[in-house]
Formats: sequence, C-alpha cells, structure tokens
Amino acid sequence: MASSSAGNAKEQKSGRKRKRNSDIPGFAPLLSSTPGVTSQAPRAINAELFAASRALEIKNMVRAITEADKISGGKRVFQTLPRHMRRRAMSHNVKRVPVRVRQRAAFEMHTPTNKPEIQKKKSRYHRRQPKNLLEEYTRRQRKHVWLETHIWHAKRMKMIDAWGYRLADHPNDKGFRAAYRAVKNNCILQDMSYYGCIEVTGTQSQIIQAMRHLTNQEAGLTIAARCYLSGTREGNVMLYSFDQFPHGAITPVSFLWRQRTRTETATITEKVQHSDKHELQQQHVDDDDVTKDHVSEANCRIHEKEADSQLWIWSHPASFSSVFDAITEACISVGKTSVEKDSKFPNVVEKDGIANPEQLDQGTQSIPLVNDIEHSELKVISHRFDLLRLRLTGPQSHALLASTLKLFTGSKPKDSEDKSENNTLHKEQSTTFCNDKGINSSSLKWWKTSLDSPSDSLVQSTQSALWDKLKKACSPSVLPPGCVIGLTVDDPRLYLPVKKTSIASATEGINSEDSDSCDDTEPESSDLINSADQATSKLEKKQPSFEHVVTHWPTDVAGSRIWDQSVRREVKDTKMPEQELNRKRSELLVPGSPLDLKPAEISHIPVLLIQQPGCSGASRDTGASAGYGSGWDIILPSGWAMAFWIAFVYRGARTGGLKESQTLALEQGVPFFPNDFPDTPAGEAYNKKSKEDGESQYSRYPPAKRPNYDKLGAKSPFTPPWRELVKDWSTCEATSSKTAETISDSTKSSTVATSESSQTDDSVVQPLYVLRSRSKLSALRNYVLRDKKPQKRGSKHHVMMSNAPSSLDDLSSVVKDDLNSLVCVLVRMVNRNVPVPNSALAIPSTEDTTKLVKCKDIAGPVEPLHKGPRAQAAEKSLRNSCTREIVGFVSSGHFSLARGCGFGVAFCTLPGLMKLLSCTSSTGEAVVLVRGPSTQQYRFAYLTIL
Amino acid sequence: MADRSSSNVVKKRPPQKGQKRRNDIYVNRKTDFAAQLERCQKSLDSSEQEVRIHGLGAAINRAINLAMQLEQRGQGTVELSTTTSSVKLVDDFEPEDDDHEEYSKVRTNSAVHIRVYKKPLSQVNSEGASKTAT
Repeated sequence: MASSSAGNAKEQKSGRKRKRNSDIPGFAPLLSSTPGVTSQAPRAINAELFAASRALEIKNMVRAITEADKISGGKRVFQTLPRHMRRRAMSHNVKRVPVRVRQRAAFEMHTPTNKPEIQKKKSRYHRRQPKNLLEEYTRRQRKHVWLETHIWHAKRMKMIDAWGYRLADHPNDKGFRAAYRAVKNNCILQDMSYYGCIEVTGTQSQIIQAMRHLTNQEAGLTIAARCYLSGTREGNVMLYSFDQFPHGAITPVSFLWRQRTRTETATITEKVQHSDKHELQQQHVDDDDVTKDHVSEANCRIHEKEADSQLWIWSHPASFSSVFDAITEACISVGKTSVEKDSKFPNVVEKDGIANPEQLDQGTQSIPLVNDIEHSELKVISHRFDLLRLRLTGPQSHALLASTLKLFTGSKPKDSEDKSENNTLHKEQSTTFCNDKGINSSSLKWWKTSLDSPSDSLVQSTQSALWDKLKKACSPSVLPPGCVIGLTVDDPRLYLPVKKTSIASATEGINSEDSDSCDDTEPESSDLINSADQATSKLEKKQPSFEHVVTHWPTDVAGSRIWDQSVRREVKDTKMPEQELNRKRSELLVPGSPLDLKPAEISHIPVLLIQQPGCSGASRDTGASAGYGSGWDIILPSGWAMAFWIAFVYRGARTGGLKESQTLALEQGVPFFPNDFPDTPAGEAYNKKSKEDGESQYSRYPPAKRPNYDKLGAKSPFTPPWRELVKDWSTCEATSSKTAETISDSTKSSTVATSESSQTDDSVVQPLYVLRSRSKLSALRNYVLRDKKPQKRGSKHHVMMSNAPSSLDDLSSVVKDDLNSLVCVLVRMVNRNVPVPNSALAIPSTEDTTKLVKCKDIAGPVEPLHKGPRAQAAEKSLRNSCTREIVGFVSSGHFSLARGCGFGVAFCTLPGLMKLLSCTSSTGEAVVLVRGPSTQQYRFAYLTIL
Repeated sequence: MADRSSSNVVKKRPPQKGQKRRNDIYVNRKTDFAAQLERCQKSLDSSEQEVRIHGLGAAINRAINLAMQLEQRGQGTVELSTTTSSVKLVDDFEPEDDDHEEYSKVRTNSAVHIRVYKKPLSQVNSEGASKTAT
C-alpha cells in the first residue's frame, strides 16, 4: 500500500510534470512514468508541432539574419549592433566598429550602394535658363492648372490646390486688416480667371427656353429677365439641376447676354439702333424720371430677330463641369446641340508675361456630340481658358481703371491710318523717336476692320465718350448695378509707371491730365456736392450730364469684339512678347521714357468692364455701408493677364487671394460659394473636406490638449450636420402638423407620408435644400418685423408689407411645403465673441431673453458638461442634445471689421427658425443663442434672415 | 410705366462725392459723435487751414452740431461758413419678376457744407486785445 501509495505520489508528481510538459506544445506526452532525472526531459519531440509553434521566432531570426546579411537592406552594419555597443561617429570611423564586423563596415563605407541615387541638382544657372525653366513649369503644371499670373502670385502668396487649380490663398504679408481697408478706401485686385466661362449660342428664345429648366423665377431674376436681355447688365442667378427646383441646386453663376449692336449682317439692326439713338436723344430732353423702357423694348425686338444670340455664363471651378453638363442637357432637350469642351489643361505656358508661341492656339478642343454640327441650333462652348477675369474692388478701383486704361483713339469712321498714327504721336508727345510710316499692311488688324465698319466705330466713339464722362465718378458704386461697358484699349505695358506708385498719386496724375484734356471738367465742379449750382449750370450746357448718364444708362455701350473668338485669338497671337518690348525699351536714348511704337505694332485689346454693385444701400441690417465691396470686373482675352495685372499693381492696387474673397463676402453679408452653399455638391464636398481636415488635426493632439467634444455636447464639431438637423426638425414638425391638421394629399404631403411610414429613410427621400424663394423669405422677414411696422416702415415699404403674414399660422401656411429646407441667416453678436464656423444656433429660453432685455451686457447661459447620468440619458436627437434647442449652425464667421463685432453666415432649419421667431418677443430683432463647438458658453446674437 | 405698379426692390446708390481731400469730412449717423469730433479737431490742429464738413439728409443736424462744437472748442480762433446744396440721389428699382424692366429714379436731398477755418492770426490777436482792453 505504502509503495503503491508512494508510487501513486510519484505518479502524481510525474503527472504534474507530465502535465507541465504536455502543456508545452511539441513535447511528446510521456507514456509511462519513469522516475529519475531523465524523466524530467521529454523523450521525444514532435518536430512538426515544435517547429510550428516556434515559427514566429524562427521567422524573426531568419529575418534578422537576412537583414544582417543583406547589404541592400537599408541598414548598415553598425546599425544592426545592439544599443550598448554603438558608439558615436561609427559611420565615419571604422575603428569604432567592433572588430568582428569591422571589415563589413569598411566595405559598406566605401561602396554606397544602398542609398538611392541622388541626382545632383543642376546648377542654378542651368535651372534658370528660360528653356529649362519653362520645361520645369510645364512639368509642374501637369497636376494643376496655373493661372496666367501664377508665377507672380507664387512669389508673393500662399498657394493652395483648389478645384484643379493652383490658386493664391492669401498674401504672405499680414493682410487681414489691410485688405479690409483696401476694399473700404482704396482698391484690391484679384485674379478671378479660375472662374470658367461657358458660351451658349443660338436663337435667344431657344436659349431662354433651355435655361428655364435650370432656373426659377422664385429665386430671383433669371436669365430670361428683361433687364438682362439687352446685354446692358450682368446678372446673377442660381442654377438648379434640370427641372428640379427647389432641389438640386448646383451653383450661383453670373451671366451676360451679348449686346448685338454691331453686326454687319443685319442692316435692320443698325436702323433700329439709329432709332434707338434718336429715342435716347429724346429721352435726354425729357425729364429725369423717364425710364428707358422703349429703348430696351427695341433692343428686345432686335434680339428676337437675330438668329445668333450669345450668352456667357461664368461658373466657379468647383461646379464648372456640372454646370456645363446641366446646360448641355438643357440645350439638348430644346434643340439640336453641338458641344465644344475645353481641353483639360491649358497648354499655354506663361512665365512672367512671356507667352510660349508654339503652344498658343490649343485652347479648346472641339468634341462634337451631334454629327451634323451645321444643323445644330444651339451651341455650348467652354471658354474656360480663353477668357480672363480680373476683379478690382473698392472705391478707388474706378479711378485706377480710368488711369490705367488708355482708350484706343482713332475712333472716327473715316480715320485714316496716318491720322491715327498722328493721334497716338500727339498723345505720346514724344516725337523724338518718330518712326517711318511703313505700316505692315499684310495682316489686317481686327481693330482696323472694326474702324472701317461705321456701326462699330460709332459704338466705339459712344463708348469712349461715356468712359470719359465717367471719369468723374468717385466710386463704381454710383453707377448702375451690374452695368457693362465694352472698351478697346491700348497695350497697358506701354504706359507703365516707371516705378510702383501709391494709388493716390497714380490717380492724381490721371485727374490732372483729365482736366487738361477735357475742358468741361473744371477742378471745382468735380466736387459735385460742393458746387451743385455750378454743376447744374454745366448741365444745361452739355447735353447728357454725368448724372443723366448714371441714371439713364446708354443701351449701346456694352458691345465688344471680345465676344468673337477670332478676335480674341488674333489679339493673343499678335501680342508683342515681353522680350521684344524690353529690347525696344533698352534701345531708348533716355532710359525710362515712354516707349514709342508704330501704330501697327501697338496691340489694341477689347475688354469688357462689368460693374459689381457691392452692398446695396437698402439699409437692411446687414451692417456694411452702402457701396462697400463695389468694383469693376475686367474681362480680357487670354494671354493678357500679366500685362494688365502689372499695370494695376504698379498703380497701387493691393492684391488678394481666395481668403480675401471670403472675408469680403462675409463683410458684405453674402454667402460665399462653396462654403456657404450646403445644398450644392460643391458645398457638400467642402463640408466633407473640412470634416476630414478637422478630424485629422484633432486626432493629432493628445486628449489632454484638445477639447472633449462629447463632454461639451458638440455632436459634430468639424462640420455642421445639416442632414441630421433637418431630419430631426422635419420629422418632429411633420408629426405635429399631422396632429394639428388633416394631411392633404398633394405633393408636399409626401414628406409627411414618408415620415409616417419610416422615419429612417426620410432624409434619403427628401434631401435638404436651401430656401431661396424670394416671396417666402420676405414673408419670414416680415414676420420678424410684425410689430415694428406702424412706427417706422410705414409708407415706403408698403409693397413688401402687403403680403406680410401677421400671425404664425399664416406664416406656417406659406412655408408648409418647405419643412426640409434650410434658411440662410446672418448672425451678429450682441456683445463679445465671434461666431466661429460650426457653432450651434439655439433657441433662448424665456429667462434668457428677459435677462437680455434687462441688461444688454449679460453673457448668456452656460451649457452644463455632458457627463455622468446626463451623458447616458443624452441619446436623444441632435435637436434636443443640449439644454437649449438647436435650430441651426454657423457655416462661416469671424470678426467683422465693418461692423466691429463678431459676424457670421448661418443656416437654420425652417421649422426651427419659425419656432425661434415665435418664441422671441416681437421687438423687431430676433435674438438667438450661439455656442461654439469648444465652449460651454452661449452668447446672444441678432439674427437677420437673408 | 406699367412697371411702377408691380412690386420692386428698392436699392439706393450711395451719393456721388467729389474728389475726397484729406480735410473733407463726410458725416454719417452711425459713427460715434465724439470720434467724429476728434477727427475734425485733429485735422484742424494739423497744418490744414480748414476742414470741410459735409452732411447729407438726416446727418445735417449732426454736421451742424459738429461744426458748432468745433467753434466752441476753438474759443474764437475758428470760424464757420456754411453753404447748402441739393444732392441728387439715385434709387434703383429692381423688378421682382422677369417681365419688367428695371428703372432708376432721381430724388434730391438737401446737404450742408460747412467750412470750418482758422481765423487769420492778426484778427485773433486784435480781438483778444480788444477783449482784454474792455
């Protein structure tokens, strides 16, 4: 028993061992229990199992060995040494390497095989050779499109990749306030050539018919509006996908009809044009309040007769292709259409103004969609790289333009070449370098042909007369909004100031010259306010006074040959290269004296000037003063950007990039594309990108160094969650409305129906859109002012007030179809703080408002931290996730220098906004709470419906 | 003329100003009064011999107020000369639908131009002397 017990004990013991052994994989379990030391060791090894279990170790070992062996492994011998054996400067000094591996180390040191071949940089001299530089530029342009002014910008501005272009973001100097001041007092210059132009040609009625599918009158004046048809004004319109209004917003575009005043084919046109002029003359005799109805009617008549109307549509590059596709689709639905797309990238390479002659004419590629192009009624052509657009903003931009643009003189119809030459010579007043009269008659310049045709020269003379008259204007904002002038100007490089001047001195020069040349503007009478009496006395003397021109804009000055592709190409091709110009300059006897060229050598460029109205003085509480942000857009044929750009910069224009456009839009209180257009594809892309960027930046910080958005109750801190918000509000509202009233089975009840059936796919079925219907927005606005009416806005705004809803029920009946919509609002902070993007707008509680009424300086409520039981309970909708109900989000905002307070563009859901408006006391100004994503503090802000 | 009956959006253009010199001060109602006064005073204290204060429409009161304050501050060294004028303002009427033309109307508004100028030094001295004599 004892032995057996002992054996048992042993067995148990060995059993334990066995157990342990058998635990280790690869050890064969012992069959019999043999006492002794040997029993400790395994009898056999299952090689397969053993190897399998050691596979990782073996792999590691093999890798270590191969790495140690490999010379091309990327590591050198001393790098494979354990840390304690490493010494300083081992890579230099072989003797520091242990003897064991010293030989290898020495070998490695002298054969630098493992390093990738570093090509030796070519010398700067070599790189700067024009040919090599150009090659380098073309290589770099393969990825992104460069503007013509790229090199200039790249030296001075932060460049970013945006929408397939490489664009200037902001100047490298500190420019935020300087840019604001430039817009306010002087002039800021921006290259907007990244905006692409799409040309539609065909009969006007057909184009209008096509465009009717893409626009809607509800959202404002459309392309077919009568005031635009004559081509005297540029209009802005929101484009929607084919017949999808109010859904499917694409982009806001600006458009311009060609003014046909100079067609040689239609003699009728000219006759009517002459009658136009007569009418105009009669009008001048009439009193000041005469409209130009009949004139424009006449113009409309012309257009209906004319077969080929031309329409330019300028689109932002973020939406260019979708606009092009939409227009093509619309045109195809109307009639046979041929389509000309642009090549993906412009092959024109410009380096500081020097064009590459071999690659000049590859602007567009024709891709006919329809076989019979001859029979196609409509034509959609992309002029993306054929036209340039420079933007001057600010009151001084007019004076700057007036001093920069030297009009092509030679406008008399029977003006011979000699005379024009004489003219230029007189103007130059430098007869020392009088050239011989040999005029290159082999190539007939476009401006010569245009001089020969009487209608053209007539138009030109009226244009230049108008421009002379307008020199008096103190700012572009005194001119009719969106007015267009076509001009023919001389090469601006010939009149370049010797050195860069300030804008005041540059424009002073032109003013003095002005008073010299035209005697009608005496220095005293230039001040209109000061000497109104003198001005009126002048008015009698000179027929169409400045004021008359400004109120009764002539209808025949917008024509320009820039609309002709052939002229554009010719102007581009015949441009004198910068090199040649510099050579001629170097031959001058007195350096710096103005260059005197033969008249045939001087290029004459057709340009279109388009006034940008800026802030309207409608005194809605956008805050910025009237005329802020007004300026001129200059449309040029391609190839001429640098020439004009330098001319403007040398006369003291400040330059800006994309960021300046953005701040300018915000200061004006208008939404900026694509940031503030959440319902467009481009806006969605922007939101997506900003979310990605924000998240990646957020994840780079350690938790202690970044805000805990969960605790702060910010559900989507990087991008406004529009869909979720709209879904929350529309479903809630729909259910409430369902209880309130019986659902009618019209189209609008589909939202209600879907929300009834399944709340989840509601947002999918009904995508959000931004409310742009003018009547509905004005109803909303009037509801805000419902109690303010009798005091202030009595008689003046009776038209707007006529459809004013007085109660909430009326309002909700007006907008009951638009539960899924967002409304663009402006928020202006009551006290301090800035509405940063992605801040939440919330409805203030009654205590909040009473507190605010009591003391205006009150800070506002504080959101408690979302933690503990509160956080657990907070699995609610986005709308109710915080203590105050969330109605919307800020899409862009910062400190506004024009207003002196924080200011932002935000969007509210329509049901939420209505609730907010009904909650607020009717003091005339709605107050909303704004809370940034990284703060607990709510702040008060005034809300204005845009 | 049918346009007039339909609804329009009124947009007011800013008034045409003359060439702005450094001593021209256009008065508005938004800017803080003290700041405007300080601006005038600064301009007057500099090498400028005169300041022109322009007030249009509702800002006339304020322009006059400014000028009076300057006169008072000047303690007899500053004089005013006032002219009035009518300024033509342009309102643009934009139609709300496509079928109508836009048109613009001219209305006039009254303006005041006050020249605040330093009295010639001899005049000031003689006045001061006579004052002390009396």
